[in-house]
Amino acid sequence: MTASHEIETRLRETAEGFLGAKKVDLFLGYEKASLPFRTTPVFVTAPEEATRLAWNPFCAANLAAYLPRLFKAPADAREAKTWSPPTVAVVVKGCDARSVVALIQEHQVPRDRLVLVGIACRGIVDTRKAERMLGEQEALGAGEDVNGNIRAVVEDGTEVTLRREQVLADACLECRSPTPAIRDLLLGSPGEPREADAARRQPADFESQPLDSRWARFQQMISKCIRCNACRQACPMCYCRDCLLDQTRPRWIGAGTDLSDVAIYHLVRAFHMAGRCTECGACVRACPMGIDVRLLVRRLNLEVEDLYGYRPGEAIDATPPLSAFAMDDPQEFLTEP
Amino acid sequence: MSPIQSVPEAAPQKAWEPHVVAFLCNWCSYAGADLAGVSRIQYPHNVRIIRVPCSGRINPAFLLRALQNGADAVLVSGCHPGDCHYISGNLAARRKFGLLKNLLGYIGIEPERIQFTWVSASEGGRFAAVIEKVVEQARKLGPNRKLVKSV
Repeated sequence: MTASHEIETRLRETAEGFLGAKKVDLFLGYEKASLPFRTTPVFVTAPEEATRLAWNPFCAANLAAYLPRLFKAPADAREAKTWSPPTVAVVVKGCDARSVVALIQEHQVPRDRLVLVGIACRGIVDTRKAERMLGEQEALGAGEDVNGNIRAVVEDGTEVTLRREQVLADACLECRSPTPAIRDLLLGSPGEPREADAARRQPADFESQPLDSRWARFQQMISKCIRCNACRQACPMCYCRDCLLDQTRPRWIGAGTDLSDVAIYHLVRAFHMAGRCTECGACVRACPMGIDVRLLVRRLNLEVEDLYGYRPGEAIDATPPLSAFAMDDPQEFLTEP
Repeated sequence: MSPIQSVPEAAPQKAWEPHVVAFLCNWCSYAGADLAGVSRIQYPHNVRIIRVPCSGRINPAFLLRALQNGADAVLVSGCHPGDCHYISGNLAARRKFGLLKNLLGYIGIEPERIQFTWVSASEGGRFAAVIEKVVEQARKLGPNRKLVKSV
């Protein structure tokens, strides 16, 4: 039995117990999807449905993204009077737990209404990487073997084994806390702490180039963008009711795919994430055009860490650095006459 | 029958001049600019001043919009740290500005296109000197073509 399988069994038991004892109103987890390498989020509300829950290396979605709207009181005043926030159990990996912490910090979700079912994560498969490795062959099924490598059954019925490190998402390779630090229970056993800091600090290949070629590379990258806003929708930290992008008076950012508008879209999105992004990679997974939408945020987060020693989502009582200030903050960037 | 008229020559092209948009806080920098004016200190006329309540009021989107709409450089100026009329608006702004400037540099926008400084109400001379420097640097860079939206 693989480690994932064990976790899955315990996950189902836990959910059945919680829902049966009415300890939670809702159990938020993953369910097997119809395509290989994929899972889909599932909202379980009855104990007999707990068998729908799944755990495997394809449980990619960051379920924290669903939380803010679950705790939003109804807009209708009469309905709001009788409304009380639900108690929600949610399956969290390391990155998802960091997102939940950041949401608690920002008063979007109440800690006392959450049961965090932590899972000692070993990294999630990047579907695109796996499909690229299979090349022409289409996978019909996928699973995990006892060594943690990924097995895929391809069209002609043969089985292909993909090395786990080769198909893990970039965000997972850079992850420094794959086991949730903040949790109510933990399934699976946390492995050896990985040395991911080096991968994280790997500069993007255009960083050392002169300004003009950096701009050219950036333009080339974003020129693929179709402005579908999927990166915003997928992001657990993008919960604003009135997003700057949707405002029309003034319209801050043109809605089309003019390169200038696209550049400003990506700048603004990244900037809002500075010191808040928990680097779950949801935006990269959501992008239909395969843009590395994490690039700018990753860089901003590194800078925030270097300047203010802050890592998003690590402690509930910490203050995100852009919500704070100090008299002696660095200011070498100022223009002096 | 009148002889064929020669096509009139196009008016001689005016030399390009940089446009600088300056966001000045109401309490220090705007008053500093005022002081530069009443003291008759000369500074380049390429600057267009926008008065804001506080440097903390400035949304980075303002600055990006200015660049998008053709500003060759953007300047933000507030009160010196500790002198903010709203106690800490400029301190909160300082963290944002540092990150924004580096982020723009990261994607290849010249760092001189976006500048931040502190000018107090008594520093008319400093204001003029800052403007001179910013305009000079913008002139050296030439027209901003990177973020500009051309319709």
